[in-house]
Amino acid sequence: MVKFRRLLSAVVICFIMTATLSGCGGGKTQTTPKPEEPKKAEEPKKDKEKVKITVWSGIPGENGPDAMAQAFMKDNPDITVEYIRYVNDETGNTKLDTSLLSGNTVDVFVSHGPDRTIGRITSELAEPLDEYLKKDNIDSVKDFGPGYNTYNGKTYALPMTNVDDFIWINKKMFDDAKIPVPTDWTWDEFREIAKKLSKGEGESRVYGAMMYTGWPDGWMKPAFVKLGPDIHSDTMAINLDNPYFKKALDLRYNMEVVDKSWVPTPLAIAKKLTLQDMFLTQKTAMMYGGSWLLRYVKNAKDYPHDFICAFAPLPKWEKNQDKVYNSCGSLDENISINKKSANKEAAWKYAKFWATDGFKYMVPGGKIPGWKNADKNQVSKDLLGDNPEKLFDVTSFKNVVLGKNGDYYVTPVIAARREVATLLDQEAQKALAGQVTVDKAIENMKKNAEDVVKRSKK
Amino acid sequence: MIRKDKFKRYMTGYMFIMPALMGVLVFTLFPVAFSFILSFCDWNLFSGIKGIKFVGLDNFHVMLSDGLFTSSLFNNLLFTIITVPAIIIMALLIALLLNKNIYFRGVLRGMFFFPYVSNIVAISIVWMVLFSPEGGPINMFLKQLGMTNPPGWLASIKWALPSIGIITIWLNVGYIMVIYLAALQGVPKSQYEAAEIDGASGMQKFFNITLPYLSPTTFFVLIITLINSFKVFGPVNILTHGGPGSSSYVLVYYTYVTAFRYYKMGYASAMAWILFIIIFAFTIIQWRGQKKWVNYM
Repeated sequence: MVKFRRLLSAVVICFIMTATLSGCGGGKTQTTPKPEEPKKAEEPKKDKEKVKITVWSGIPGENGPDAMAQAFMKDNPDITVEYIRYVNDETGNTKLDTSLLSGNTVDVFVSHGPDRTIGRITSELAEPLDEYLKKDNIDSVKDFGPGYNTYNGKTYALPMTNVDDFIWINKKMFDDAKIPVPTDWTWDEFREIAKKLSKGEGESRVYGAMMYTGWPDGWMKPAFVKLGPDIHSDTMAINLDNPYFKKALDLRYNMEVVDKSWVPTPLAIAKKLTLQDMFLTQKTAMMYGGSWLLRYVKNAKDYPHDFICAFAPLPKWEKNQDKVYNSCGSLDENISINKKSANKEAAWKYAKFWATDGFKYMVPGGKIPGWKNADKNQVSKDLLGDNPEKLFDVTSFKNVVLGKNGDYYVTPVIAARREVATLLDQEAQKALAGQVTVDKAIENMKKNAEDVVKRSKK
Repeated sequence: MIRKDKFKRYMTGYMFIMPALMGVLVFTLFPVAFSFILSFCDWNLFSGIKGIKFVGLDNFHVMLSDGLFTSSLFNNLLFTIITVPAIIIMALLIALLLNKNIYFRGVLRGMFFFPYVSNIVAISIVWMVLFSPEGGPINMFLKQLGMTNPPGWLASIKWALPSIGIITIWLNVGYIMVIYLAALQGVPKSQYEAAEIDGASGMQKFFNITLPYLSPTTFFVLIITLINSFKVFGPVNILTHGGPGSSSYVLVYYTYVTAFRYYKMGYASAMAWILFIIIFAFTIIQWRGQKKWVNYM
């Protein structure tokens, strides 16, 4: 009797299992994305049928995207645009990635920075754009610039924004210390100035310099200024044999630990300090960041401040350094179409709009177009805004923000780049905390980077 | 042949459990089985189902030479050694104190238990302010006491993991205290009276009556605190991101980063299963050991 009961329970459980699994076959899209696209792109639509596209980017709606969407919808009454902002941090980007995977809620998306863009391109989340570019006669390199938007011979994104790195300067602090705004300086001079301008202790300490904490390759950036394309070699994701990497880590060590003039990254992470908070409350005299910071500086409501911002180009290593590169690499914001989008035509229309004519809505929020045909005077006027003298030192603004900041170089598309950069950063942190010497740290970095690249090549 | 009414009873039973059973199947059993298979595969999440490549024991080989994995494992063991004894001892002492009839006993019990039911994110943010190396209350207090160089807590390589440990201890003491309080009610007063008649001191009463009666509870508490200490993740993800350097990298955090930052699902699954094996091994050891020291009255 008992045996029969057991057999019966087993049979019933099997039955329930099969019923469940067949019933939730569709529900598995969460964890196991469908291998082929089940939907055909679009059947020919009737002309007046409204198409809805969703656009994602890391820029707050009020800094341009909302106005752009409105303008687009006016010109294209058959397309509705919904704009969704994702915060450009770990969680926000994971949110975008999972939405891209599940397919339905993303049509156009903007990736910020090489790590994210390369990540999405190598994971084949973006639709190849070559057809569209050919049809509309756009050449991604000639009309915009070099970038890391191609993979296996196909173009997957349009690089559209100039987010050059430069040094932002608190002019009042410089004037008080009788330091002229630099126009051509070296990292040693940078270090001297930072040391001079650091004072105070503990909570109220004023630092000389701070860098964006969201860059895992931040400590390496000074080296990028010299190396450009030599950052990467064929054998290693990051060419750590090059002596400038050690110089960059030494510089950071000297400034952060010896001079105590640079805001330490672990402190910034532990207290969740942001670049704009520190700079605009005069806790740091200089900041190393890109043009995206303009929207904070111009935001007098949330960040009132009574000093004007001056700008300086990135310091060089030697006074007569022949080639100077910008440490951001190239045009840093890329717009792409979701491979799983159901409205690719409309999505491309919007992507093209954003990268070309529509970009002017982003300029007041601090974005500089990479499009070669953008109206430069209009850009300059919109960037500065009304009353520019109140906020900026207009001469250095025009020279640095609107000028050329070093050559661009192309970041090679290596999928393991993110992991490598994170591991290298961990070693750098250990060196900065004094746990290992700078030399040992560079050695460890080389080994770790090799391990990772070897592992991912399989 | 089973009779009709018995069959009906069985079917009713199954109907009752079917919703829960389906939930367990879909959300627990299936993912567990799938992750077990994945741990022998290499899978980039974005390449879809067709991207799953079988690689056998490769993931496990890589793990052995993965410096970050060994660091995480070491950090976890360190974390367990710091937090488990601290939680149990503190919880026991507080439970003993709050078992007596002191003023505001109920309120105090509530206060100690409160952290356990609070939101981990809110707790982390508050502790972040407390641990602030320069202006935070803890360091200001230490400086008042005369310490010239108080620890950097979350910003220091040496102190990041202990800081997470402190937060975890504070979090869990309340829960374990409640368990001990319940257990203390089960110690018969007559034993204490008998011991007093024989002239036993407070310490003797504690070690010879209280502890043995509490040993089954302690056994239970030891298992769950150990298991939970291996699962630490929240504060690490919010406060230190595994840093500075890799000093607060723990297994669950590394698994999370591997899965959702680098999208290496196969490797992450392999790590998750290693964690399972480790926890299982500890539990088996404890289970076998209970014969030695646990007295079931």
